[in-house]
Amino acid sequence: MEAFDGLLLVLSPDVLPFLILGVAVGMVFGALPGLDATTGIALLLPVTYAMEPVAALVFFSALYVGGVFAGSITAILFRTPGSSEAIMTAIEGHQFTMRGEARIALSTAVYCSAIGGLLASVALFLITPFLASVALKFGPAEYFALGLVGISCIAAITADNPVKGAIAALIGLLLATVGIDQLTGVKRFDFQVTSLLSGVPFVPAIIGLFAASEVYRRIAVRETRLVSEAVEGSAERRTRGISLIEFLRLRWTILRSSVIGLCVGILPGAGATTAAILGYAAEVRMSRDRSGFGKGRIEGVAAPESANNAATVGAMIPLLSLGIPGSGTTAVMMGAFLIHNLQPGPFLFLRERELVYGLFSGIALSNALILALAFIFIRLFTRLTLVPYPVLATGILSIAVAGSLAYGDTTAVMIMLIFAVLGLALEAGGYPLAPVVLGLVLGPIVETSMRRALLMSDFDPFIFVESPIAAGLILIALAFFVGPLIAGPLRRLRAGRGDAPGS
Amino acid sequence: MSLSRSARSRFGALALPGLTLLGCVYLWGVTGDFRAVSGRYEAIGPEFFPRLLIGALAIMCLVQIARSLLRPAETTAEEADAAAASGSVDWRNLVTALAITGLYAASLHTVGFLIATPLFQAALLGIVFKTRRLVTLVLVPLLFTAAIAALFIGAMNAPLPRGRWLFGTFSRLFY
Repeated sequence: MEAFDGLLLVLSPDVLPFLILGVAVGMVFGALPGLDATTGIALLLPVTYAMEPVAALVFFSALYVGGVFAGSITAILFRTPGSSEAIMTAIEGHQFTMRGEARIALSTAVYCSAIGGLLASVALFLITPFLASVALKFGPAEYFALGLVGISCIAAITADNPVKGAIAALIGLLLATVGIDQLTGVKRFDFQVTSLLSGVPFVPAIIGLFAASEVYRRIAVRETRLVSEAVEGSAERRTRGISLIEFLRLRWTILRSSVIGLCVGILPGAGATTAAILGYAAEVRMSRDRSGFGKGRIEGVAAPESANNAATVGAMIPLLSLGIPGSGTTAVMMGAFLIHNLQPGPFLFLRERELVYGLFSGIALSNALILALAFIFIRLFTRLTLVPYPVLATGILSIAVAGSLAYGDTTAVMIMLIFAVLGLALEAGGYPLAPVVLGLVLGPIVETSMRRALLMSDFDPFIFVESPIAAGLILIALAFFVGPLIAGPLRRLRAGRGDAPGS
Repeated sequence: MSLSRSARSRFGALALPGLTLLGCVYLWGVTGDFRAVSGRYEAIGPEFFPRLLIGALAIMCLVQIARSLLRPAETTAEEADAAAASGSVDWRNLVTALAITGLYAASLHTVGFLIATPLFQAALLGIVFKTRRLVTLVLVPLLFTAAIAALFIGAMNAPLPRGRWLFGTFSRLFY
């Protein structure tokens, strides 16, 4: 009944326009490299001061949902993740564009984002109190184990050449140690550059690694054909999105990734980017044939897109039920609650039930709205691919620079440029880029949690296996690491037996 | 000015891990300066995790170099794909594009975003992409700069640099 009242509240003329506007504005922020939902919410926070609390909060949650989805549009079309949550989509989805099948990846991203978010919204209504209590049990040992699970997926992504994959991941992990050490306050690898004290700025780094490096690669190999030729493909493949049969085959991928995204989103600090990586990793692990991952597998688009949108919903759970923000964006959103004299937490459920259920309904409807609005935005961005490549490349580099500047001073642009050269060098040598990002994202979680856990236990390493959650996660990580090492010899052994006479 | 496929393969197999190995030696030395004040962190201080990673990275680079020297003919599918996709490399064009971007980034603080951006775009179009149409060379940079400035400065209030002296005065006419 309360859920129905919440739905009616959101559908009222005072709130519904802000819901639609929120998704649209979020898509603009999400699709532009360097700007994301967090920036959008932070910039528009003062604008909502005069609004009704429910309208303002629904507007921001819709902006968050729209922003996380829209990162995938430019990720697929230009290998330029509009937001960090779309990293894995850029790696897998852009391969479709290069094959002339961008529409398959784009439509998959739309449907999976919407369904992932909607599934998580159902969970938001049903299991918020239970899931919030599980998240409270996560201490440093559990976070360390969770980080290990994420890193272990490198073994699967780079099955062709695990040594190169490990080198790329270690470079990413090492880059994540730049800046002030969170535990001791000691400066590390800052090289007297003030901007590096807070660590390698993530957004300029991924803009450089993916967007700018792709432009420089094309410049280096003089590949200046229209991107539309790649997007549209040949006449017989033109305008085809994902078919119903293809989509139904993804049902378990979507369900699995949505559950992963929801669970990761609930954990404070983990975020939708980690959810997308873990969703992708789980999909690679579960697949019988892993050879096509990284070269354009539809599951590789469906999994991160379902997971990251589910994580945006999951991140609202600890914020609303415990008053703990589950991500950077929800931390900024907490400011929206506070300027409207609302304190997120258990008392919010007691005092403002209608508002809470209105917000739940708003989040669910925002995910459904993706289906309606996404195709308009996709059409707009696809038109961009008709622009001649020199003009497009100039535009991409200019937006990459402006996007980096939005995150800091001109040092951020230099960092973007350094990462572009790093990306170019790694790709030229046949080193995968995904593990670098994986290391960069998961490095702080792994290092800080490991050291905190060891300090708490007086350097007793058994702390990592004492808790059933941590022990279980470490076992999963070990299986992920060791699996590919023994899978190859086992396959050869089986093949050898199969070839034997009489077998 | 091009790089052959075998040269690219050697770059991935030997040069890149070799350079990374040298980097590891340097960075290991840098970690010597990380000293925590509190004795509580002696066992797992600020240098603990970076050294662990540097050590592992150095070992992996040595493994990669050893693999390449012991099995030089072996080219993984990934390397083959990378080599096939990249064709011949125009180093002069690449270095020019990187230098123009670097110069642009370095000049932003002094010249400001509104003046540096159209110059950067015109330089990229004219020098790197060899565009000769005057309309494209003039109109595209002006339109792009106006659009990006409207979006980042007007709508998003992003702190794009104004520049100094006369350039700063010019930028202040707009934002």
